Amino acid sequence: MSIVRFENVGLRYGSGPEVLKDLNLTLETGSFSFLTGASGAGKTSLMRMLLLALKPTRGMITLFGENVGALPRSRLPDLRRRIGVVFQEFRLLDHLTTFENVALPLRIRGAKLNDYRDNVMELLDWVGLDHHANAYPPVLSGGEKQRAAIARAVVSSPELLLADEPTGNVDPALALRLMKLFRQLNQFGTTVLIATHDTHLLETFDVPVLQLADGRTEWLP
Amino acid sequence: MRPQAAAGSRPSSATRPALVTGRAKVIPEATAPHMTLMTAMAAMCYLAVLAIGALLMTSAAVNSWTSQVASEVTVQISGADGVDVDGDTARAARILRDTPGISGATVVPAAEARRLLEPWLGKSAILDDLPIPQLINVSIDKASPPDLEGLRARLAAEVPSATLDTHRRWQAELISMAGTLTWLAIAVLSLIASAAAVLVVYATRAAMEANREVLEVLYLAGARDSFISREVLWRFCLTGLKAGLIGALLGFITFILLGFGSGRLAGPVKDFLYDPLGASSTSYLAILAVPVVATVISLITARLSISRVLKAMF
Ligand SMILES: Nc1ncnc2c1ncn2[C@@H]1O[C@H](COP(=O)(O)OP(=O)(O)OP(=O)(O)O)[C@@H](O)[C@H]1O
Ligand SMILES: [Mg+2]
Repeated sequence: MSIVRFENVGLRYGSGPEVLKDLNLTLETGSFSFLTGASGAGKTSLMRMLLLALKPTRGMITLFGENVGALPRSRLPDLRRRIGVVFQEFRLLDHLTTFENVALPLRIRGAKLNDYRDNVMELLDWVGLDHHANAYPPVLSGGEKQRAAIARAVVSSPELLLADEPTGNVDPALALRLMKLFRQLNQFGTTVLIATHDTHLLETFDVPVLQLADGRTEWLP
Repeated sequence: MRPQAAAGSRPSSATRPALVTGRAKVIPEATAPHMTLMTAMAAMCYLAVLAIGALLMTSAAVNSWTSQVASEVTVQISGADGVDVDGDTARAARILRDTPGISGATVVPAAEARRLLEPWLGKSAILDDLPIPQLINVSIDKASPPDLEGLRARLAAEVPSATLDTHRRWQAELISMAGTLTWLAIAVLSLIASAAAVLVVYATRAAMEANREVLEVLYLAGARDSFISREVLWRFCLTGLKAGLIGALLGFITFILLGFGSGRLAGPVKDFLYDPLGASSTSYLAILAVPVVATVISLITARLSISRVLKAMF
């Protein structure tokens, strides 16, 4: 069973050159993979398409068995709710506390504070941010923001987790801990795709690596 | 620990933060569009209140005039050459008293008639030479009004010098003027309402544009249009209500000031102040509809506008 399928997907921004050309790839449900490639290769663009934030200029994307190009706008939130995402630039909301940021996906789903308070605090504890629960993102360090963004991505137990450079701002020890968190989620059934150009990370973990170069993807041996 | 981080959080991880409220608004309040909207909407609500007030005062005045006029008719005995004014007056008065539905007929003394004409003709001696018509004031029993057309015919047959003035034309003109003013007020009110709606559309766009980044994050986290709508709407609801209340309050203050400044307006305003639920002032409660309508306009327009902006944005 594949959770993601790209067929001849191409993407260009405006009238610029094709950033991604003829992508053909599948991610199996429950898999754990890295996405790598030079800066500007198109990793973030690929993830934005997976998140339904960006429409491919050609080709077909199948997500959770649905042809996303054919879905009406009103069905997109349902699909997005099955995806957790860590943005490369975090995109935490500055006017909300760390706790509120992390709880945001639950609030959007209509959950009640009393039902999720303990879960969110536990998660903050896990990523080492429990004592920053009431702090606002502008006063957090880069690594702390990154951990908050990761906590927000996983709080709703998504079926698919997309993480764009999730270890870019943390020390190696913390990077390993975060990777363990992702592995743990994967063992519970979440399909994980992590974009990174951290070669150390690629060497440490023995997982399939999808290489993006010249607008095309290729599984590295 | 970094010092600035400590400012927004508790230093110890042993105890859980007590202040996890989690209830901050998901979308930050873009203050500028709301302040602009509130000011402009309040001004519009104020204008609406003035229009309604003016309409109510006019219709109250027209009503009281027409009812006074309707209860009185006048018979005139023309003072032309060869007419026995005194004899005709007596005969006409007799006919009037005979007519069922007429409660009284008073002959206006010549001096009184002269006094009525003075404002037009002055106190000059001309008045003595002019054939001044003799007036008879006729009061009508409103419960069983007389057959005025029959009366007119009988007077014409028996006292040719007498004419019956029922003030009908005067009354008709007043009523048609009141109708025109009503339509004018309705036109002004609709114009104000449409202008308010346009303002709300612009304010919605500005508020959402200011929060585009936040909206995108919410979207990508799976928010539906309805969720975002709700988050944005309550603020517009509040702005509309506040603006309406400010406008209505300013309107009342204006009426009170006008009322104290001019004797003519004082009546209805005083009625309202001392007896807000009395018959003559109930209509003033219509002014209280202004904040309600302003809120409804804000709500509906913002709701439609939000959906459109969201569809265009994402
Ligand atoms: N919004 C945009 N408008 C126009 N061009 C864009 C836009 N976003 C990205 N691009 C271009 O698309 C290409 C791929 O960008 P993308 O951000 O996907 O790369 P990346 O692999 O994530 O890079 P990095 O490792 O530096 O994050 C780049 O050449 C970039 O200039
Ligand atoms: Mg990138």
